[in-house]
Parts: sequence; C-alpha cells; structure tokens
Amino acid sequence: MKTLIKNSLQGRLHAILETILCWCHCCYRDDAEAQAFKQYYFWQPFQAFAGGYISGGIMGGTAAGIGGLRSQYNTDNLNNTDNLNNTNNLYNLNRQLADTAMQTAQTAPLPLAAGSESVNLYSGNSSNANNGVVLPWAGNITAPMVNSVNSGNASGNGGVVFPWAGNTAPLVNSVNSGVVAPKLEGDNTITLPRGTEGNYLPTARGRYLTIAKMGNRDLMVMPNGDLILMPETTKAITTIPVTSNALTVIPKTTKAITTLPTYEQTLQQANQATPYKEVRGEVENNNITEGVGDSLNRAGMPKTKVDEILKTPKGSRPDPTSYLSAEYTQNHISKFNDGVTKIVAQAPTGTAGPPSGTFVMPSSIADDLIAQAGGNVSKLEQLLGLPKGSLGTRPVRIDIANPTGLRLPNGNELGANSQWIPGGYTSGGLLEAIIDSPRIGQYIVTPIE
Amino acid sequence: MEIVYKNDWMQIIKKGEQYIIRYNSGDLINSIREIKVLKADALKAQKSEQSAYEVILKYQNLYNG
Repeated sequence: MKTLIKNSLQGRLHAILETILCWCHCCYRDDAEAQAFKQYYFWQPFQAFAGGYISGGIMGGTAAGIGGLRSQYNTDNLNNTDNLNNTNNLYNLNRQLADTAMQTAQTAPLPLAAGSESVNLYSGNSSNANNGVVLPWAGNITAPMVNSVNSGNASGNGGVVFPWAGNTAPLVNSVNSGVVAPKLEGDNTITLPRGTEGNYLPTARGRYLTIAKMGNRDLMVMPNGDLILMPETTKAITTIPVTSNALTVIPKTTKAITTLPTYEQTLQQANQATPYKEVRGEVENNNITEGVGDSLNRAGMPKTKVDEILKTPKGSRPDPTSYLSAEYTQNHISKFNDGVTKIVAQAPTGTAGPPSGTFVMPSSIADDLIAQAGGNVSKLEQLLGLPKGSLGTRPVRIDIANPTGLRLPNGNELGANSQWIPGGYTSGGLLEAIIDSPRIGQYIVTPIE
Repeated sequence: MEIVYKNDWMQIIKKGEQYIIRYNSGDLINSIREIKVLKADALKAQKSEQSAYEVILKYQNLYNG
C-alpha cells in the first residue's frame, strides 16, 4: 500500500514537474536550452557537478543558474507546490531519472544558492554514488544555502565538502550520507570526500580510517595506526596542493576556501603518488618541520635538533657532519652517483647557481617525475609541490652527469629557503644534495616535453 | 633600469634610486630571485663573491629565506 501511494505520488509529481518544465521550455530560446535546464537544474542538480571543479566561472554560472530559476521559471509555482517541496518525493523522482541524465549533466554549473535562496541537491544514483563535490561560498545569508543533501541511496557516498565563512543561518538544513558542512570560523571541521573503499586524505599519504578532533585540529587515524594531527593556521587557503609524499595541510581559517581538489582529482592524484613516504610533523609558521616531539625524521634526527638548526641564522648553521653519521651521509650521497638534475623555468645563461653551490636531485627521480607528468607542466608543478605557474610554460631540465663537490646541504646555501630542513630531503620528501655550481659546458639543458 | 654590475650568476640593477640584486640562488627548483638592497649593500656585493654572498644572506635572514 505504501508503495502504491508512493508510486502514485511520484506519478503525480512527475506530471506536475513535466508541466512546469514544459512551461519553462517555452521561455527558452530553443529546445536544447530547455533540455539543459531540465537535466542540469532540476532532475540532476547534484550529478551536474559531480567530478567538477571550482572556479569563479562555475560560481558565476551557479549564481546565474539560481537567478534564472527564480526569475525565468516562476519559482512561486515551485515553492507553492507542497509536493515539489517534499524532499523525499523529489528525491524518488530524481532517482528514477538519474541514470539517463547523468552523462549529459557532468559539466553543468553548480546549482548553488547565491543569497537567501535554497536548493535541494541529490546524487541520485541507483547504485553507489561517489560524488566529489566542493561548494565554496563566503557570504552572509538569512536562510540555509542548501535545503538538503542526499546521496541518493543507502550505501552511496555523496562526498561533499562545504567550506563556509558566513555568519548567520546554517549552510545545510538536512544532511543524509557523506556530507559535511563546516563553518570556517570557530571550531572548524572539514571532512574529506569519501569513496567506496574508505576515506581518502587528499594527499599522497593514502587513506585515513577515521577522523576525530583534538581541540580545534583534525586528527586522522591511518590504516597503519599512525595518527596525523592536522595543523591550524589563521591564513586562508587558496589552493591545497596534492603532491607526492607531502602532507597536505588543512588549516583553520577565517576566510573562505576558494579552491579545493575535487574528489576525483584527489583520488587520482593520491593513487598516482607512489611510493608513499611517511611524514610526521608539527606546524611552525605554517610550515611543517619533520619530527614530532623527540621522534626522528628521515635522517634520524630528533625534532629538537632540527629546530635548533633551523633557528640558527643562515651563514652560521652547522656542518651536517656534526649531526649526521658518516654512514648516513655516504648512503645518501650514493643515491646521486648516476647523475644529478635540476628542473627550472628557464635555462641558465652562465653558471647554474651561486658560488655556495646549487641544489640537485638524482636524475632518476627527475626522469620519473617528468614521465609521470607526461608533458603536462601543471602536473609536474603539482608533483614537485610547486605553486601553479611557477615553472612557466617551457620548463627545462639541467642534467649534470659528472658533478663535483657532491655533499649534503647545510642550510647556509643561498638556495636554502624557508622550507629547508636538514637531512637531505625536501619538506615534500624529495632527495636533495648540493654540488658545486656547474659552469657552461658542465651541464646539458633539455626542454621538458 | 640600468645594470650596474653583472657576473655569471648575479646582476645588480639600478631602477631609479632603487638597487636590486637579481641572482641565481641555486634552489632545487626555479632559482632566479630578486632582492631590493640599500646602495651601500649594492656596492659591497660588487667587491667579491664572498661579499655578494654575505649581502644576500643578510637580506635572506631579514626576510626569512
């Protein structure tokens, strides 16, 4: 009986919606536009942005989409129709139509409320739904931005993150399955998108089993039992880099996050980033210094020693032989025996570095990173942990087959920036060493294709 | 803009009354950096490679790297 009533109700709702959409259709310039509206904004709003990315364009499109919904389609009809406001009924209708509309709705704008409007979002899949969605938004509203969010089925994973910096009404009225709506001030929590195989950290560190709070900081429990305490910062995040072997920081912020990787990007990059190397850290000046408490970093150095070296002004930092064993040093340097490489935005015109020496990585690692990037400069920047655009459009590699003065960096080099840590690894986990800056004729410059 | 000094890893540029040292820092990735320096430091940096190193280090320590 319940099913009969539900089916009957669905049928009536479907008819009502079709009538409204038919009316909407008349307002559009052509059939294609009407169909787009039907698929993107009504039947499949959630699917519309599954796997999408966030940009001003999308936000603009979103606002326009909502504005269009209000002004062009006589929302009074929608809002005054009790059945249409009934989430469950609309949800069920949506489920029926989800599969057919999914393909065409992949790249549509987000149906995100721009002000006091409210919308309903659905993943709408009849099977497991894994929708990596981020809705960044920063404004003050007097009504919930999103009415309700549903994954579309009991086992689905509507992976959604809603960073928010508003001050008034709650962002989401009701949440069902795989959705978190954090407010980016006060006790800030961001839960990461979830997949069918478990939760994913948006880094190369792999998946976390669960996430908890320690004060205001997120504490992640990793499959190997490690605990990762995410740091806090008062600075806004504009991008969260997803780099190999790097600990991504999701800090506390009082400003809106404008860009986050989508679930699909996160998953793809996390899966590509191998091998996984452990980084433990604490945050100082928004940087992670390796070692927690008296635990050891990759070079076997306690954090107290690392901090002592970092606090010493450049020019006065100790020689690595004073804090690293000869065995460690020898083993580290041996990894550079088959040639060394630098990756830079433009070819040097003279000596490839200052008299204090230049940083290099093993050529085999450069080969691997460049191969992984496959000619995509943005991806190479991502793999190297660099901000987008920092390698320009035509980066080159500088190969030095027979380097001289191969040694561990001491932190006094002009190229030792604020991210430098002792031990011969970058903060992102790449092997590094110093060589005497090669002169013209001692290095080969090759464009990275 | 006038290049007042140049060697194979560093230039000292005068832009109006402003002195700028543009140098190849030797970073692992991307290594061309610029710092604004006082005239006295611009002059000191031209004396020797060690002097240039000391001047650049002074400003790097001032600005945390």
